Amino acid sequence: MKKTGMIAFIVVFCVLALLPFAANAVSPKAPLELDYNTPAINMLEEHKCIEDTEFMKSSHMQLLDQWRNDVVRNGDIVYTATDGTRYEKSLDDTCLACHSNPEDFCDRCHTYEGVEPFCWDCHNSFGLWREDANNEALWQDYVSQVEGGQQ
Amino acid sequence: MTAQQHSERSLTRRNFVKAGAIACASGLFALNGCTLEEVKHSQLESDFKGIESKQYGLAINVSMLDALGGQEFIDTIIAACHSYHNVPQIDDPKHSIDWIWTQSYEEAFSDIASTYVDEKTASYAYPVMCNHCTDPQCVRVCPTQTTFKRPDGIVMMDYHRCIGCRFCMSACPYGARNLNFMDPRPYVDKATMNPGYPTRSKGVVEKCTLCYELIDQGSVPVCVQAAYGCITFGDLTDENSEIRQVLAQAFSIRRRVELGTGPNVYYIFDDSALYTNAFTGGEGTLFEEDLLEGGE
Amino acid sequence: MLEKVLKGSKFYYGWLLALLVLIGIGVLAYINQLVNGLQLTGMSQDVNWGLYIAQFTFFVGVAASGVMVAIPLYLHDYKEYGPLIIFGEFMAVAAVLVALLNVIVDLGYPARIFNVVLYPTPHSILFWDMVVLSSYLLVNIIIGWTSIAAERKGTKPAHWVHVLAIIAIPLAISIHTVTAFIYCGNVGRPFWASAIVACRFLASAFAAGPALLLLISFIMGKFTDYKLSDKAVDTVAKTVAYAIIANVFFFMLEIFTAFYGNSPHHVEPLAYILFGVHGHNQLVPFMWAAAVLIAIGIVILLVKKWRQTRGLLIIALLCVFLGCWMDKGINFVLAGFVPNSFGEIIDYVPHPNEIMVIVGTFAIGAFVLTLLFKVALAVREGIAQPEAVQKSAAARELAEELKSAEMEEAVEAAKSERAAREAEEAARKAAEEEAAKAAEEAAKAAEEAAKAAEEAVEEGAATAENAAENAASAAENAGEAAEKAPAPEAEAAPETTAEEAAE
Repeated sequence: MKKTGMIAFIVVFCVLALLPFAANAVSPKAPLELDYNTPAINMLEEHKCIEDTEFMKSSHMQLLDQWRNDVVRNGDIVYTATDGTRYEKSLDDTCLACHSNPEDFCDRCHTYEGVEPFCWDCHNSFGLWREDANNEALWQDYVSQVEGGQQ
Repeated sequence: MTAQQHSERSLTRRNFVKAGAIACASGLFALNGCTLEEVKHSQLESDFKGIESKQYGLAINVSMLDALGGQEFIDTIIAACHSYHNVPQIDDPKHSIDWIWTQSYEEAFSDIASTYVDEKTASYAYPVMCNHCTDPQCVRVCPTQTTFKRPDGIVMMDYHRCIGCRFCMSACPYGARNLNFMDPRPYVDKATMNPGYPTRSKGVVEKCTLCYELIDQGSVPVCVQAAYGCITFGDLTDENSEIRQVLAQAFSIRRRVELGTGPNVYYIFDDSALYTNAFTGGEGTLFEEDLLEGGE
Repeated sequence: MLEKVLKGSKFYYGWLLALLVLIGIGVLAYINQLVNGLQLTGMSQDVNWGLYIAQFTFFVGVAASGVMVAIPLYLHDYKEYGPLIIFGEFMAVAAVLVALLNVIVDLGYPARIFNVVLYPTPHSILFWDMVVLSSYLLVNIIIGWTSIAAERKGTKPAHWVHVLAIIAIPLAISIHTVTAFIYCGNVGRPFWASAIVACRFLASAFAAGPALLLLISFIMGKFTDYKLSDKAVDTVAKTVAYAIIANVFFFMLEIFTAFYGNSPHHVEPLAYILFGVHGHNQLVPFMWAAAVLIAIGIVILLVKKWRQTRGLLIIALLCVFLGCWMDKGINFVLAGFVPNSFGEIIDYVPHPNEIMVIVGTFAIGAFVLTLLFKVALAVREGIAQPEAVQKSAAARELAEELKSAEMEEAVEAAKSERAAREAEEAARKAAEEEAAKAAEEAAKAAEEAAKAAEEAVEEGAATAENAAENAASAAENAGEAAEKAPAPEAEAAPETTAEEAAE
């Protein structure tokens, strides 16, 4: 009685524990599609991030973590990429300048992977600004200012 | 089968706990390989040699501020700072957040204020902020090194790390620190905010960072830009710096010096500039064009 | 041992249920605070620490004093405290828990609490507080648990437990000293920046903590057989008296230094709690209530006759505990923020949500305390009635079986042989002797059964079979013994003896 009970318990436990894996094996999730269609990316001659895609996919979090410590704690603001190009170490001014659609790029993948980084609690103020439709004129002003500054 | 035999070859509670502890320890050991490693892929050569050793400070000429409009003028400086840094505008004084604000003579200098003081000194509005102390109390007490002193003297905050214990607020003798008692974003004025600058999150402490981001880019703090020469910024350890020149020529005081924190915001009483070149359009005056240039 | 928490009276379950309800309310209130931020407290930019940190401070004191009662035993071999120290250790565990919970609910960004460990910062007192508090918690759990386990087995705790208990004493003093350092290192807060703070904290802790421990002991005495010797009670009461007098003395030193020296920064916070400043007098009632309570407590504790009257002693201990709580759990922290950096006075009005969270933390502390004390008391009761509790059931059953079956036959047989009266007389004498033997054997059987039962509890279900086997054989033995004893007398004898043994 006891032994059979124990065996039954183990079987039930294993089935429950393996259920999610089994469910995924039977019906795998649709592959993730990220949106690269932003004005800044479309303007690029070569569709390439600051490093190669494989590296960015696997290690962008470490890169951002290091950037954050470099900038905030050491005052080191320039990143020299593998190809020698220099970038400002900035989530807002560098990453989001191209990926101006974090909802369809960052968030989509994070949701897919089930992770919840707290970047947007503070960063991506652009998004905050755009929430307010009345600011469309200000937005245009800002864009022209930034473009003017770049020239 | 006796109890003794039984315990020898079965899973007693004690053995179970032991096995669990060993399993957890080995799991932790294995997990060790998953920690964030420094990125070695890139960062070929950085010409960055680290922050130079300095002590930045501010010299605020309260007489000049008064001459340019007093409280009203200072309000524009405050607005420039707060909108640049997306400081939330919370009306409730218990929760309001300020990086720079004004206090009366008696309040700002309660320890040294004379009872019978000349009308001018008593009537000035005194902008107060983080003093970027030489030996800051807040840095000493912070349990996570969220707030730390940069080699150039800025008392800096790493908002990513703050646990919101508010020890720094208790330690700061200048009342320069504010907690985000609520999510600050709804209180950021969207019409005047700076979309290129982050906000802060609920539950972290914030304060003036002397615009470290502008200094790193070779510029000067926003308040200095907006003060039309009434606030001088510079390295206090360099005797040839502008700020040392200004301090060498006028009477100045600092807040709560007796506590030994070494505040680096000086308050100058000198309206002689009024009669020299500041308002005659001569050199040494910051005009709007200069301001915009510095801002980029 | 942990299973002992599962068996209790209705009152015990009712009490736990009530605490669980309070804990639930506290958890809901805390979730509310997590969502809406610390605006749901009375704290402000000027009074940036409030009741949470005040409760933390007070309960670190209670925790420190839990081990204080161990000092006379471990350092001076004062045996009267023997029964008390496990409860002291367990009270320390619950109090550290309340203190830590109050720190956690006080954090603005609690999800990042492990940053304190990830970025260890030796120049921060809060870092050291975490180190000593967590070590103290661990040490007390280990000491309390191993001591009570040893007591159950009837052995002395291992030598290393004794060593650990001695280490716990300086650790207890260190937790409250470090807590005081959190305050007295702040040069900008004149009310806190005083060297006497650590002494004051320890003094009030050694008053409030043992007072609480005695009060809880009295409550436990009401519901269980737990009894402290009068001598132990009186010694603890004397300790409370000395400690609270020291606390008052230290406070008077503060008052003299401030008012005689008359430095405005030093005077203002004290004036704020004693008389109120510029119409801000919300802490004044607490200050004077604390003063009156502590005065009553001291008077009762100083007069030997009053101190030794249980009712008056309880009043005195309540007064001291509440007085210390008002002094340290409300006023000390809040008054430190007066005046602020600009000479302003900002009042602190607690938010209802904040109070619910605090009550929740207290309830968690009380819950843990109840369970730990329950284990300790249950183990003690088990030792006080060594053979009885677990064995009795088996022994009694055995005896009854014997009677019902063979005895009846014997009685019938005896009835049919009325003629042989002499034989009967002889049989009666023999029966008496045999009955005594049978009783002895039955008792032995009971003992064996009980041991087996005890082992069974220890070793798990499987060995219960063994125990049952042992019990069965014991039953057989007893049965045989009873069989030998003929006639009516045998009927009564084994039963009563078995019952006696059972008792």
